[in-house]
Order: sequence, then C-alpha cells, then structure tokens
Amino acid sequence: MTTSRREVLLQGCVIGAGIIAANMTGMEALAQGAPKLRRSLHGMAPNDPILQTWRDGVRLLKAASGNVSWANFAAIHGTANAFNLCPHGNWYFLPWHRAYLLSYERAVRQLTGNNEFALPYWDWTQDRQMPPAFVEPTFNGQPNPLFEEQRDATPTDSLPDSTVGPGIINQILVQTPFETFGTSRPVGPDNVAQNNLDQSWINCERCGTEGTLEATPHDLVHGFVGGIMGQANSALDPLFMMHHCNIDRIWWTWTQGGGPDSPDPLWSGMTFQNNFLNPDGAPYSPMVSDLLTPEPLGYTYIDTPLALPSAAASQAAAVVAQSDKYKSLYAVSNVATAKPSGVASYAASVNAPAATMAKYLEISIDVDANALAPVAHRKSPPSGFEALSLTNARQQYLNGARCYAFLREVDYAEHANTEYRVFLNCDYLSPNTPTTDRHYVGSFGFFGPQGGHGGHGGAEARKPSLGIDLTSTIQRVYGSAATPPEKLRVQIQPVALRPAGKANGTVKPSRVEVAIISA
Amino acid sequence: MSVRRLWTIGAGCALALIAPIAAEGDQLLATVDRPAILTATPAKPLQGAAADQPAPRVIVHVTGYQPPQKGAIRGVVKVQKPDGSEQEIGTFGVFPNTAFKADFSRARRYGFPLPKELATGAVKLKVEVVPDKAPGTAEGAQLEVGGAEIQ
Repeated sequence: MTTSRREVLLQGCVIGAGIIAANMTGMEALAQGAPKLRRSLHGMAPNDPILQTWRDGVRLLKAASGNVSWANFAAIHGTANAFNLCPHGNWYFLPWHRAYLLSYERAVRQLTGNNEFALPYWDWTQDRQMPPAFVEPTFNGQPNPLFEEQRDATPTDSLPDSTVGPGIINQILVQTPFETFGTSRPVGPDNVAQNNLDQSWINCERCGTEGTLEATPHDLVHGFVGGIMGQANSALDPLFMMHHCNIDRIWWTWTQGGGPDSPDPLWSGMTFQNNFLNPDGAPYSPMVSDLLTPEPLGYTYIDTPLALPSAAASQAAAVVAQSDKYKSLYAVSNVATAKPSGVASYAASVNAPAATMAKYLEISIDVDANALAPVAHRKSPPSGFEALSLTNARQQYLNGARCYAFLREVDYAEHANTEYRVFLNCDYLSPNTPTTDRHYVGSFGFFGPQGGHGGHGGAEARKPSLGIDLTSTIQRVYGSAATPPEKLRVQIQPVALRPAGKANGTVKPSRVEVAIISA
Repeated sequence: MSVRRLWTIGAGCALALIAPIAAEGDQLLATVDRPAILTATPAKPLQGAAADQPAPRVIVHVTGYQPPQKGAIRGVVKVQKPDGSEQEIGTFGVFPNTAFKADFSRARRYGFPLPKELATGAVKLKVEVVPDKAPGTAEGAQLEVGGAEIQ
C-alpha cells in the first residue's frame, strides 16, 4: 500500500485549517478542491494548458491597472531603485516568497478562469538554459507576454555546475538546521539578534547570513538571466516566478526529506501584515506557520505516491522485475537484429571519418517519430526526488518509454587526455559547446591501450561497445515539440580533459543502434 | 562633543571588538584579475542566535560591490588546506546586481560549509571574481570583503 503526502494531509483535515489561516473563505476552499500540481517546464509543450494559462494570465495582468496588476504586484517585491517588502538575506526569505508566488497563482486562476492552474517551475538543475517558451519574442504570431527583451542571457547560454549542478543541490539538501539552509535570522545593526515580532524585522535586509540556497542558485540565476531579472524589480520578468517556484520546490524537497523548519516562534509566528493581495485586491496577510506546507495552500509538487518504508521492499522487487527488460537490451550484441520484445530498434553504419577534436563525428539514424513521441513526452520526476526515496526514483526511471543509443565495436586511438562528449541533434556543435547545453547527452573515455588484454581463449580482443541513455536529452530538446524528429543525429565531439594539454584522441564506432523501449 | 557623536564613537568601538579583524597582509578587494585574500578566524555564536549549528561554516562579509560593465559575476570562495592546495567551498552571487557600499555592521553575509578537518583554527581564504557567463570578462567588477569568520 502506498500513501501520498497529499492523502495524509487531506485525511488529516489540515486543508481546512490551512485555508482559514491563509485568509481564504470556506467557499473558496471548496472550489479549489485538491491541491494542483506544480509541474516542471522541462519538456512542456508550448500549447500546454499550463503554459497557455500563464501566458494569458501575464498578458491580462500586464494590461490591468490598479491593485491586481503586473506592475503593482512587481512593486510589492521592489522597484528599479530598491527592494520594497521582500526580505533577502533574512530567514523570512523562503516563506515570504512562497506567499508572493501564491498571490500570482491565485490571481491567474481568477483572471483566466482556469482553476486547475498551478505555476510551473524552471528546474534549472535539469535545464540549464532559459525555458524555450520564454525566449521567443512571439507566439502564434502574437507578441509573447513571457518574453523580456532586456535579459542578458541568450537562449544558448547555460548555467554552470558551480551554480546549479548536482554538487550544489546536494550540499543544499543536506543542510541543517533551517537557518543554514534557508538563511539565518536577522541581526540588527546593534549586533542583537531578532528578539520580537516587530514587522521591521521582515525588511531587515541582509541582516542574516545567506545559506547556499539563497546565495548560490537564487542570487546567481537572477544575475545569469540579467536585465530586469538581476535587479530589485525583477518580478517584472515573467521568468521570475518560475525561478522562485523552483526555489520553493527545493524548500519543499528539503522538508519532505526530513529537513526541520525552524521551531522558533520568532520565525513561525511572524505575520506578513498587508504584504500581499488576494485576487479581489484585498490584503492577504499570512503568518509564516500558515506557509509551511504547500498542500493546504492549494498546490503540491508531486503527484506520485511515495512508498511508505514498509512498502519499499515489495517495490524493490518490482524494480528488479522491470529492470529485466533493460538487462535483455544490454545482453544482446545487436539490438537491431535481436529485436527484444517491446523494443523498436534502428541502426546505421558509420562511414564517416573518426571523430577528432577538430571535426566531430555525426551518425544519423532514421527513427519512427511516433515511437519516439512517448519518450519526448514522458513525465519525469522532479529533480531531487531521489533524495526522498531512492526506490521510488528507480521505479520512476524504469516506468515509461526510454531511448538508448548503442555505439558498437568502437575503434579509438591516442585517447590520453581526451573526453568524448556525446550530443544529439546539435546544429552549432564545437569543442566549446558546454556540457550544460540542452543537446548534451553524456561523456565517455577509455582507459588503457585498445586491445590491451587478449580476447578470451587467446582470441583477438573485442572492440568495446557503449550504451548511452538519450531519454533526458530527447525530453529536453523535443518535449515541447508537437512531433519529435524522424532523424536522430548522434554526435561525438572529442575535447581535452585538461585544457592545457593536447587532446589527439579519435573515436569511431562501426555502427550505431537506437532502441526505443515502450512503456 | 555631542551625545550623538559620543554614541556613534561608542558603537563603532563596540563593533570593532566583535568584528573579524583583517590580518596583516590581507588583500580585501577582489577584481577579476586579483582575488581577495584574507584570514577567517573562529568566532563565538552571536547572542541569541541558533545554538544548534552542528557543522562549521565560513561567513564572508561583503562590504562593497561594483558590478561589471556587462553581465554579472560569481564570487568563488576557496580555502587553503594545510598542504598549501586550495579547496573551493562555495559560490555566491550579488542580488540585485547593483553597486553597494556598506559598513561592516550592514555587510552582506554569505555562509559556506567548512570541511571539519579544516576547522581547527584560522584559515586562509581566497575570494575570486569570475564572470557568470563563459564569454564574459567581468571587466570593472569589484568585491570588497570586510572580513570572514568561522562559526
């Protein structure tokens, strides 16, 4: 049996209490129904109802004047000159921005009439470049309300690992207590830490010590996007909410994994008095303790039930059974001829010269776009999911369609100091294309001389073969496309491992097979 | 001498007592060509602050910032290990990306986990200014570090 956190919350009647505390009427609470899922923009189609609603909502808010308008909501955060009500460098940073996002979410639901709407998030841990829906000046021939022309980042600029990579995210998720995770309490200029619930502590700007979550991905993604996003009036950029939604999601992930919110009543007992607006323009003044759990506020970040510890063992068995399908894929020497059940396979011989640093090798394989579509549109678990349950994460990995490439009988030479990077359908590939590019698949290398060991029984050594999972890249590049491509161009670009050294490595497989595993 | 002036001097003296003091030879201004180099010394927890902080952290106090002529920067914090090599312990950004100058008591503070094996006493820190995008130069950017401590 599995029980989702959502079910627990619903059964525990927390919804009612939370909604009352969040200044909503009982009728609104009933109308809202179950918490709405905030989804990743990763692979989201441009005409997805969520993106369409956000586009409409932003357009309507921009056209509005008065309290509930784009300009006024943004001014709550800050103006071109300075922050207004938002706390930064202060332990109210996370709950304040949670309530702030909520005011947008509710306003957009009301304005568009789409009560199923929940803000999507830009999961920059998975998608290092700005989401495609936000970088095109037009959509369907009309001005795109999500586009902001003053941004510094170009669509091909990528956030580096040092800002949003797995090492940083892991460092954030293991932080404890709350004040090292979510920025510490304010300390006044007289060097006395906050000792009462006066409203002035909320806006005691930079009075705490920023934890990694605020100092690194939060601050640096603002600066990376640049333009308005790098300034105090950053909420004028419609990408602001998607960035902060991911910050909010990481807070949620941290608490789901057992991260303890501060027990200090100076934190949980603070009310953000008249800081926000309800959709009708009336003030929304939640207390921090109202904001600790998303579900009573009408949204959630996961729709996949998490296994209770007692169910983990049986799930683990299911994972083993599912993974047999994948084992058979790796066990055969030619997927295209073996045709394992449930697998569509395609192959191409390699006739081009071996890849060198100066000239990458591209192998084009014709595939059935219909077979590829479920891969591009598969639902992916939120990043950091594995921190909650490794078993669940494994099961998620095995569920749904996936696509692999197998590089067979690989010839290589002079591979010292050479990293072989694999990209997919990249039109601008060069040795300088970073591993954070959306077309990047993965890297491989070789150890020791080719054929260093004799073959079994004295036979000639076999050339190595490599399996590469293309799924995430296909999702990233084609998830938002109506139809996936009919050609997959697998590209191998050698680069130097140590930039100062020579990289003369070459590589060439004899053929490339593509396997698409159906769900 | 006015009461206000006396009070200001008194407050300044009090701050000097609790503020991390830059050691001789510290270079506190970081540019893209030249890192800030300073010593972080252990400090007692602030009065009233959370007492259950288990892991040592380095707190870097940034008292001034000048953005680059174009784009934004990352501040990269490295600690010198006993064998002389360096270990990166964190990266931070300045948001909003606008110039500021603050006295020590209003400095922007950034905390980074310090490996326990390095938290035995004072440590040498390097704070580098790095362009936030690959083709950037970060020309004109400056970070002024007021001090650092280990908590």
